[in-house]
Amino acid sequence: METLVQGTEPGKKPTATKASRGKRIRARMWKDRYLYLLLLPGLLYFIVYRYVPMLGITIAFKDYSPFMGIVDSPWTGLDNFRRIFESSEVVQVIWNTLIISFLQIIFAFPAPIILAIMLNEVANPLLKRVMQSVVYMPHFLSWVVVVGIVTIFFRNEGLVNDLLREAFGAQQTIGFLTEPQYFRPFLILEVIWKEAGWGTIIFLAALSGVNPALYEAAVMDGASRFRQIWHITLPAIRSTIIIMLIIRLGDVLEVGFEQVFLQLNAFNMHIGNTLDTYVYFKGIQQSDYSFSTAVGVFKGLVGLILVMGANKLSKRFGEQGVY
Amino acid sequence: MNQKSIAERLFNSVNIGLLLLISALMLFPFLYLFSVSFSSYEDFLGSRLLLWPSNWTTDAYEYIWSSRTFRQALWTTSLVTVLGTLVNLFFTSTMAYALSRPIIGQRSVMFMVVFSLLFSAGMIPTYLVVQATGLLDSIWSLILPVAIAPFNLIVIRQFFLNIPGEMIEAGIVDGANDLQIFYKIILPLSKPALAAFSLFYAVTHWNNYFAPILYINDSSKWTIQVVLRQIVVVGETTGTLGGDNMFAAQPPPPETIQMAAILMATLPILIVYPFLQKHFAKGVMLGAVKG
Amino acid sequence: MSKKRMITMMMAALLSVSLAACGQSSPGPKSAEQPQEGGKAPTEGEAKQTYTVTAIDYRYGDPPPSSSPGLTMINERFNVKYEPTFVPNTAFDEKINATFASGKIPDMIGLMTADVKNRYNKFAKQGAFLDIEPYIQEYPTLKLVPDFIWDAVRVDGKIYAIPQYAPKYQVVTVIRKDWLDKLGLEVPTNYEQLKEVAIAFTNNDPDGNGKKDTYGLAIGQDINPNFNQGPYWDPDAWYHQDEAGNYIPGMIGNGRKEFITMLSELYKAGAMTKDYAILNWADTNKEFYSGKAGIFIGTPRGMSQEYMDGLLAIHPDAQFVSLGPFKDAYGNQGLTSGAGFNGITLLSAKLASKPEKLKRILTMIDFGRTFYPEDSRNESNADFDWWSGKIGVGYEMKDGVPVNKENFASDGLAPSTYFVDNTAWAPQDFDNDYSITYQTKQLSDLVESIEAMYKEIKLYANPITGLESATDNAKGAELKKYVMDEQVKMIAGTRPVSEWDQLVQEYLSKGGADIIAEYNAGITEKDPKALFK
Repeated sequence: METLVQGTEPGKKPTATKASRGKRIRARMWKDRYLYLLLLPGLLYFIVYRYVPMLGITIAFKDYSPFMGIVDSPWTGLDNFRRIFESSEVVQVIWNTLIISFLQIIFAFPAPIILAIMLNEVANPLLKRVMQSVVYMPHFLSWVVVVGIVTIFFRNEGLVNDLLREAFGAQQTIGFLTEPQYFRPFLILEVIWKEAGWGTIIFLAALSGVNPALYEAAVMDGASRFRQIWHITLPAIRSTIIIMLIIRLGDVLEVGFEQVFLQLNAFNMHIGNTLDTYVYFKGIQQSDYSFSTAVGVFKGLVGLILVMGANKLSKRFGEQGVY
Repeated sequence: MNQKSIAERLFNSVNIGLLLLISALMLFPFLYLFSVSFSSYEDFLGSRLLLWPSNWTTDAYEYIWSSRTFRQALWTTSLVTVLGTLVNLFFTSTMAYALSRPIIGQRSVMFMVVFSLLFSAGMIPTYLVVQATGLLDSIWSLILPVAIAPFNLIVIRQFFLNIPGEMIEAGIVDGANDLQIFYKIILPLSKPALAAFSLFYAVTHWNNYFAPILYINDSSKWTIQVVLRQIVVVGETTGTLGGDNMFAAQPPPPETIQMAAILMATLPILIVYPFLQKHFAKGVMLGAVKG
Repeated sequence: MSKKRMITMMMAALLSVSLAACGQSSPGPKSAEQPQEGGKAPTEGEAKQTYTVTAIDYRYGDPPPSSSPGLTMINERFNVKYEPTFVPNTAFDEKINATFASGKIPDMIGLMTADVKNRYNKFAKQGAFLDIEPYIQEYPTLKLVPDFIWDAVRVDGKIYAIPQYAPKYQVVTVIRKDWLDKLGLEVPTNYEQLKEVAIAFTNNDPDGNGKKDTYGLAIGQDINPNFNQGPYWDPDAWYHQDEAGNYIPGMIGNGRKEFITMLSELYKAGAMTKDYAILNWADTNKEFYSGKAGIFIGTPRGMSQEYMDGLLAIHPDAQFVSLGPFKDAYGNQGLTSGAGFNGITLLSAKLASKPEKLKRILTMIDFGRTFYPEDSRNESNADFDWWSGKIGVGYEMKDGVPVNKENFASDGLAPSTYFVDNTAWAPQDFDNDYSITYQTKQLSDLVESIEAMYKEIKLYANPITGLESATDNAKGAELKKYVMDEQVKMIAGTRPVSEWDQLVQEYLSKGGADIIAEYNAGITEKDPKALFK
């Protein structure tokens, strides 16, 4: 244990001379040689398939013509980035994206946590397993299918409206899919429906590690179920929740292109046009590689700032953070 | 014979009641898919909501199964999923373990991982690298370029970090080197986490749609999502704005066939879960110290 | 017969080699190939060489297998190693994007018509494709293509694409005749009457089942179909003119305003598809073919037998009538002419340095486009027989009409399946009798009547065909989407139709004015009446 603690900040020893420090580092690295061996395959992967391609990001600063190649395509500086912001629409579009994204973080992010805790409280193992298997099923349907099903059920002449008319005597058809006020709730509910069950897996895996003795002790103390959840269950998955949240923040400008795109129509365009769909309409179809890369870089930068900020914050509060 | 308090019972029944309701909501569309896929097209057209087939028929399934492309795709996808998941587990767990130990450079490598999570190079540069490494048109192009998902790496590392230090200490005392500790102590302790992540990886492979489109030319190596999409989406793409393609395409297959295809493409991966599930349930003392 | 053909082709090839060689500014490629040929006659040596020919194209539905009898037949006949990649149409955008991005494109590429204005235009300018023009006169099926169609694919004056055949027919409005008869209504000849029919279909129970479960117009996303009965109402035709005499797009013209106004009334009356804003094309079809809606569209080529069978299974007595062009406010009557092609074939610019291989590829393309008159579409025509995978193997003759085997495409039984361009270029649209290709009487009667109507009427040639507008290329699609969305709102009343002039102004100020100016600069015929032919 001592080596572990000492190792975290090797440069801090004030008395160490340069030579001896270098020697010590080499010695430590030699001692950890098997760990470096384990690191190697993954590191190679990151270099080859993640970082070498990143050199290609240069095309965001060029007018990339495939028939000239990356190197010979002319530089355009920040033109592609300027194009993202050239229209006044873009403010609205980024605003739309952020609203949907934050609604998702507020409502869709906690859904799997709550569901996981509920499942964790089920005593009957068979019932628990069956219900787990059921709730994670929607994840396997692609957005095309999910949106298709939503359309069948909620269109003007769909089942829900029929039901409202016939069973409840509703006079007016409700345009669930065309009236703008329903657009965001539907997006969020769909995400919860599709992904909440799937999202429980990671929390349930974390919960499986909780020592049952803790619960037994709590029962002895007469703690209610809610207190047990508050004092045992939640702390057990706290670090997982924080990491998931930090990573989720990195995707703040990403709200699921396909889901949104498939549900955009003339009536909800003004609140539903997000960064991805905006870029699509602007000309992704036209093979404008430089422009789409520039948008990717922009989204990455925003995500990076948020993640670094959140990570710092999390560490300040004594949590582990992502890195 | 502990007598349960009323509050305890109320909690349980409300909890289970809610969960049953949620399960029903999640299951409902599947029931719909199921019923339509086993009905005749006439029955489908004739009824507004089919929740149980009135005349059972397996026509739709026979039609799908008779498609060579569909069968081939199921096979290719299974192969990619199994191979790919093994590769994923190897690459991810080794790297995650190394990064969970305080080795020199750990922080910078971790940052590199997080950075790549946020900044992907984009489709085209990655395509060029896949091309340069000679993987085009081979099923390895669906495996190696996604050997590690940074997100999964980060979370697995988190699991490793939560393993009590004493376990590793004990290994060191026994004279084991780091490889042995990893193999004999860490991996067995992390079974639930690894089970969860093999599921994540397997599902990602199974649902992969984009990579096969980009990297695979030979239609006999298409994966199931490509084929499924062709069956389900074909009606979406024709006839918009342009106008002249309105009649160029055949109409999409009837809904009965579409739904049968969706279920057939989903079932194989759905049944993986119950197998892995028992590993989740086997509680391992992990993170208990933190709790 | 086929031997004779081959010889003619080789003669043509030989001829063009020498032509190409003369025309080449740099003698490099030619001299590089000469030593290989040794003492032999050049053509013989080159004809023997087996070239690997690559291609990429899209397919609807199941792709053909990558090894099959049909592919072997092609390889033997043309002495090539043919390696086509078929991409599902739903994934074609992504695939073709990546293929182009890598800068390494296959020898042959098939693109959709929608790509002409963007991808084709863009990469042609970057020099990705081969200039086809020098070869047009050498290949019969290229020679058949009329100039106005070549002009439609010109980029900077050069032709980089071989258009794939489609008749100049557009779609026309089709009405349930049995419903009209039941309610004692006349076949409409203007929109006012069409509107009355639609409302009657909604309120007067035309299918006689006692339930109010029918309505008029089936219409879906993007106000599709547009039910235009002449260029006056066609959103894509440039027919109306502004005060300065410039043509303007139909999208903002008076005819469109009339039509949108009519739809807004129909919407209020419940006489058109209520979910028009969200239904995709397949679902829109279903509204009509399930017997709910009574007004839709039809066209000679590409109607769906399956859809029709579905309708006839529920309503065996369904009858149909198609509408002719309506007389417009300018006193003209006719329909907008179709583009005359659908999809394009491109060749890699790199083929310029391999003239022999290029000849081989062009020969293949030419063969695939060959038109067989109806009386020679049988086994007695060796080329047709080969093309269709030989009688008894790839197809059967039924009532004098060749019918493909069920596994024809899925098992790749015939060479025709594998050609990038496998649509015969008909010398005249009327040479194709599409009505005989359908199996039910109602459908073939309907198609026959549309074909007959097209023989009588005048077609309006869209004046912007073949012209280029930089603004349209850059933001035309986005702008069109905007106007379309606003019109969708007008139908539902979310935005009043009375704001039409304001919408036109919005179009103009968002770049529409530039588009109009740029196109009009290239239009010489200023009288729309003269464009009816």
